[in-house]
Amino acid sequence: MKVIDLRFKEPGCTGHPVVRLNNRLRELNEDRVLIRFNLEDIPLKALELLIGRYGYRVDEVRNVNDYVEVVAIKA
Amino acid sequence: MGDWCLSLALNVNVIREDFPLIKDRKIVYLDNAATTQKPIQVINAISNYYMKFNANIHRGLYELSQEASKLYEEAHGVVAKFINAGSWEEVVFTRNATEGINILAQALVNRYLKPGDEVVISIMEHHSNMLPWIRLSETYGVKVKVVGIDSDGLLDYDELSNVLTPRTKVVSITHASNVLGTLNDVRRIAKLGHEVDALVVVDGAQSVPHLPVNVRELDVDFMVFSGHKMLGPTGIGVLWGRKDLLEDLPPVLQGGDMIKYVGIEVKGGVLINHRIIYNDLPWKFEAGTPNIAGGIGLAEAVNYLIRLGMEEVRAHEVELTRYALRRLDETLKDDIKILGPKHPELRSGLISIAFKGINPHVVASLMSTKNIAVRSGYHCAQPLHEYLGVYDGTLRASFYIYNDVDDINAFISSLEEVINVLSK
Ligand SMILES: Cc1ncc(COP(=O)(O)O)c(C=O)c1O
Repeated sequence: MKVIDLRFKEPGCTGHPVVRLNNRLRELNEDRVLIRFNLEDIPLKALELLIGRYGYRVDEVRNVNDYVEVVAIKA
Repeated sequence: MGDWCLSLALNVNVIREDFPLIKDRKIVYLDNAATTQKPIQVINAISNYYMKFNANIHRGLYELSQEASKLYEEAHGVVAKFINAGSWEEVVFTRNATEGINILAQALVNRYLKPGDEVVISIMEHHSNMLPWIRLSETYGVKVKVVGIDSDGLLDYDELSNVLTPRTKVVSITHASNVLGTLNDVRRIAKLGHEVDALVVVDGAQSVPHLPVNVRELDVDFMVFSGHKMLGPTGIGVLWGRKDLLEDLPPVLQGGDMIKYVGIEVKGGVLINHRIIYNDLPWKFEAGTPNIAGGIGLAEAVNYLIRLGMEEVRAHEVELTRYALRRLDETLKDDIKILGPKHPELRSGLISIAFKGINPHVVASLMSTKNIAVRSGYHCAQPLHEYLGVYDGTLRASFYIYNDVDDINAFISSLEEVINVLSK
């Protein structure tokens, strides 16, 4: 399963996790994706709406230490 | 919305017919401060050039080349008239506003500036009007002074007047802030700058597309702006300068078409002497084959704006801004902070919004799922955001001639919705 790791913020205008998530999803063609992120960066509801735009939905949410893992599958 | 009676200066429905990309209203395009959409007249002018006139300029004796040269030269004239330049030779075509300032900064340092001389900018500058001067401080020991703003987002004119000294050689300030919307009093800045014999440079990237600009009335020395922010194509911009100053400045880019004569003396395979006579203005500053189609497209864009009337363009944006500010205040006052002056007359047609505990990138991303195009981040003005303590950046909606009340309503409803989702 492809992993999109958004836990670390990169500097610059395109470094925010939301921008990176959009960029990665735009180029991916996978049925299942694992997304790691911090809830302070992307609230879960926002993530659901954002991935929906690329045809994914949340299949599973796991709280791991101080971050969250979401398994997204093609809807 | 109820008691609001809005009368817009422009007929948006008619204008939209000219814009293929937004005519069908599939997108609410509110990122005009980044770049504007292009009317069919501009698209046609560019394709017409390539289909009927394409040739390199100033080089061929054949008719096609002469026609292309004429069109390109005329484009300079159209822009000159638009900003009331002294002559078409004062208009140098560049790639964009950024390149204009870089060329100017390098030319000025080669001719006028010495270590310890001062350049005054403001905290509200776009990186384009900040980094070229900072570079001069790194490489030539020029001192850069940065003037602040007041709590309303207006330039601190007292501070400006206090920082000016006999060593101030350049005052380079934006006409309109791309974040605050603040319209600066350029005449006042020019007067203060000229009192200490400084050259006054204006970043017109966010003003020339949106309001009547008369460089001679403003009494400034140089101005830069970008074609793509005023209906023109990307890759074409303008550096305007007073003729006497441009004549005195050395060219920055070297190569073809910017010289009249080049002679070299070589001895034993080594260059020992050379003589170069630079070309007349504006060609001295336009080295190499320029963006001919871009220049022609820009002239068409300018003609389009002239037909609408710049007073009307400005009035249209003031009304849209007034409406948007009031609606935002009515609906979202407790959730957002609007940057910049409160009164629409003091600002250009853009609104930047800071949030409490919500990241603007997340907001913009969610709004894009509803086909609303707005910008999030620092808008290339990171020092300003840090100065204001807005570390996450802002969400910016910027209006233009084809936007109407429906666009603003769609923007505000969507913003309300997104804030609701994110606040849960
Ligand atoms: C105030 C201001 N100055 C300069 C620029 C730079 O324009 P360009 O990227 O076209 O060179 C911009 C672009 O956003 C701007 O808003």
